[in-house]
Amino acid sequence: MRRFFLGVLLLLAAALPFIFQGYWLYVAIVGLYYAVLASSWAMLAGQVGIISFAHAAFAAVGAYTSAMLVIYLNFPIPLAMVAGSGAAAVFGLAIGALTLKMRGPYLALTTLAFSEIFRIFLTAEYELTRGSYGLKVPLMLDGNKTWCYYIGLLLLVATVTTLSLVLRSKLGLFLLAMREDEDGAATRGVNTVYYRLCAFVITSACAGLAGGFYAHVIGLVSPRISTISEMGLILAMSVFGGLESLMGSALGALALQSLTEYLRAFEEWRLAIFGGLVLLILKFTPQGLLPRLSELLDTCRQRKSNMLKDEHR
Amino acid sequence: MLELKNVVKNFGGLQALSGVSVRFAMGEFVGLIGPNGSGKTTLLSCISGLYRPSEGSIQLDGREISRLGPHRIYRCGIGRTFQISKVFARLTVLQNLYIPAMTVAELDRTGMQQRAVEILRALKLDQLAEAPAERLSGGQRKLLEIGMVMMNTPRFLLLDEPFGGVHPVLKNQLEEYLKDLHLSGKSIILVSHEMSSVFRICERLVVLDRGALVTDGPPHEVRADQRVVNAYLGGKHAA
Ligand SMILES: Nc1ncnc2c1ncn2[C@@H]1O[C@H](COP(=O)(O)OP(=O)(O)O)[C@@H](O)[C@H]1O
Ligand SMILES: [Mg+2]
Repeated sequence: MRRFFLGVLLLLAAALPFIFQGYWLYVAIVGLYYAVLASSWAMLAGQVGIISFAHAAFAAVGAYTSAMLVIYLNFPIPLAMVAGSGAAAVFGLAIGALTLKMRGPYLALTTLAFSEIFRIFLTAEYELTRGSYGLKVPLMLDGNKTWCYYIGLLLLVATVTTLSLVLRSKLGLFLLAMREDEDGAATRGVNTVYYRLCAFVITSACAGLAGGFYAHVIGLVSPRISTISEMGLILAMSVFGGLESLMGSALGALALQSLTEYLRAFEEWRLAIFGGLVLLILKFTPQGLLPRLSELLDTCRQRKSNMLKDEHR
Repeated sequence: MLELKNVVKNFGGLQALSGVSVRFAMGEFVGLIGPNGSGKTTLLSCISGLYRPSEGSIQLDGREISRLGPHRIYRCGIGRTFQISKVFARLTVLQNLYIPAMTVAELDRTGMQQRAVEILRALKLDQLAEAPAERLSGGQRKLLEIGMVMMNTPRFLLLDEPFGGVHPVLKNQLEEYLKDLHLSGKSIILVSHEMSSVFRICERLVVLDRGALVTDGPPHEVRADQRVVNAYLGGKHAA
């Protein structure tokens, strides 16, 4: 059933450029950017239990690195994007090494501080980054929206696949054990700080990759990528789709991103509306909307099959 | 040899250990006893690295280990179990066994599976291999914890109330299992309220009271010691 559902979803996603063109395709492309961010953030929050506010900043690290490598050093775009992802991983390593021994609230605050410092740095280093105007960046694939969309889809599929493989590996088993009982894991030889750091670096790399993609499909990088409200958006998307499900949070991102476009008229109120949504979801279905929907689907099917059985009697 | 020198552990104003010095030789089977709140669990937690002693030193074969993290101490060959079990409830019994094995990588995959099967058989948990650990009874969790330690080749086993909640029939088997482990050369430090078991299987007893060491010696001497009887409020627990 799950396989089937996934297949249909993938087919739909692949067919999308034939259904939507122009503006809505562009919306979908940005949605894919958020989907990569939301699913990797959800892995961190849901599976590892790290609430980091630096995820948007890591995307900005990837975006600026990739953009500047292309602009100043003439890197080919794919290579620059990989380098951007690597740079985000390095930042992740540094920030992680600094914060991952801290307990929850301290870690959250430290990552928030880093995120703000980085944004201010981007704004202030005018010579390099053109400050809040942002850098104009060469587009990938001559800005062909259809191809950009497929690249984005590929990145999302690659991210979700990689992260689920990670969760199924030894690292994933250790992370699960740590979430069940941190001391229990440590006294059985699990180097908890190290494995948390691994997860942090991997998800930072995902954010950096997303950032590079964003830069070369939008054609502009600005410190806005790294604002707190962007981070809030990523958080809302992850919670909306379900923190414990990579696919769920990715779909949550796509759903909220489309919603954003409908809510254009309420620009300033957007985050407030999303905040309200997050509160409602946390109150009524804390595991997120998608896992909840699939549960409902299951019970419906069960009822149906029970009814069928009854008819046969 | 495991040597504690003047180990002090403070929790805020409360002194749970007030300068404990004791040595555990290789291959010894030591019972660590004392009334509730006397600091037994705290002592095990200091040795296993969950707590950092406020003062004093802990050395394994002359090497200071009191500053190492719990995973490092585990890899030095000191494994422990918990009074309130810390099994991974949502993982299966087998996965619970694999985790400690995977952190050390002494065994390859088949070796690991074989060892797990042997251990489950010895602990009579083989029917539950694929069950999530949350389905186990309190006593079965205790057994599983011992199994988790035995997935590797620890030199020291620190067991915190391993008989608690274990079915009486299993309790005898567990005693036999521990004796076998001892015969195979393991050093065991056993914390337990089950005086009859402790007196039966330990070769040496260390008695704690209010964070301090009261007596240390062979069971028959300790049994006769007036201070121990006093510590236990007139010998309520004494066998
Ligand atoms: N984490 C902790 N924080 C504060 N006090 C503690 C902690 N752990 C143990 N204690 C206190 O230390 C004393 C010794 O406890 P413990 O080592 O659990 O005793 P035992 O295992 O011998 O029953 C008790 O007074 C207990 O309340
Ligand atoms: Mg205790």
